[in-house]
Amino acid sequence: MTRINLPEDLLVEILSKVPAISLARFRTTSHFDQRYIITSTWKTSKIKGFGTDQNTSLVILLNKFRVCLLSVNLCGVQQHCPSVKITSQLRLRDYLSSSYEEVDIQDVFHCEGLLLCTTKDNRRVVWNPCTGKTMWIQPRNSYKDSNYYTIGYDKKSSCYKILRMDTFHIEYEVYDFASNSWKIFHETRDWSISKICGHVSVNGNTYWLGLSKEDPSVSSRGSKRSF
Amino acid sequence: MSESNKKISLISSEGEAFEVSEAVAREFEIVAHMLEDGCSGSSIPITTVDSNILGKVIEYCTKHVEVGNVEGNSEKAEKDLEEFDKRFIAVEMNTLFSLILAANYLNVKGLLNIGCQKVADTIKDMKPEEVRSIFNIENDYTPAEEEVVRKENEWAFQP
Repeated sequence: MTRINLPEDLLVEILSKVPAISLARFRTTSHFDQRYIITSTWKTSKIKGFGTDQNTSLVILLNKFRVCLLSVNLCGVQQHCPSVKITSQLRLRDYLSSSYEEVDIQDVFHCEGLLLCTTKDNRRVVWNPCTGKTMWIQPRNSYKDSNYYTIGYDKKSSCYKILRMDTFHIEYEVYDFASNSWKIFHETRDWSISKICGHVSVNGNTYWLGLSKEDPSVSSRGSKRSF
Repeated sequence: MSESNKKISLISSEGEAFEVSEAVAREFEIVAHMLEDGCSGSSIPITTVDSNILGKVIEYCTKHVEVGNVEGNSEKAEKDLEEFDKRFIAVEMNTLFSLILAANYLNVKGLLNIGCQKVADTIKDMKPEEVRSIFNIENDYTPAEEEVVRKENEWAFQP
């Protein structure tokens, strides 16, 4: 039977309803799909289907400067057979360099499938591995070793934001994807972040171990704090 | 005749007339606009949609108008409507595409939305070659290009 052809705008409408993990697979369908998927907006390209099923969680892990997906199934805990395995390695290519070489990643934060990566050569890039889309973030002045970063989604302004904190100075900067610019905030605080313990990102929140007399743990939530 | 009882004939591409209430006809936004623009004729030609598909779109709109008119018991009505929608789009792919094209042309947003969602749900676990065949998309990659893109997205191919 001859298949009916749908016009491009309807194909786009259909693809916008497909989970992003499927979109990543469809990028090999044709240049059209590749073009559409890469140019789709940040919002529609959120990773709806990152978890493969209800029982499995995907954990993002850094291994030898590469981002890996770790599949964790705790469903079998009762039967003493939970499973953890590295399912795949994501490849971030630097299209700004002439050789398109793979980028070494030093640190990674995630929020709804978007990854904020600190590269080994001290740059920041926001990366959607499903669409392959990247956005290199320019610093206001320069990136410093004493900085901490995280990415979150601000429901109020419906945009993603990057938070930069400094270990030594009482200064915060927020990068707003709507205006593509940094904004500075000053706030008194009686805690600092432990350089040794690292961080964990879960469901759009990033947790660090804070050094404080009153409350040893400090959480930062891009959408909740008034940055 | 009061406005709510007014009948309108929608004429399919084969010339078959479907008599519907104005409320149902207004579910087709394209018809609603024509009526608002003062098109007073009682028969409206829908030249790009055949009888089979036009009949189905009318069935969809009639059900949605009926449910919209029932007062109270909204939770049950909503559930019934969801069930109806599910059954309504459980059709083979070519019919589904025809419904989507008709819904797009006639501007029946609800039908367009569930139709596109149904296709998205159907293709989400398919391989790229199956998606190409469904949409009649030509593979315009060279084998080398395809290999590069495939490698970049290797993770999405793994179970």
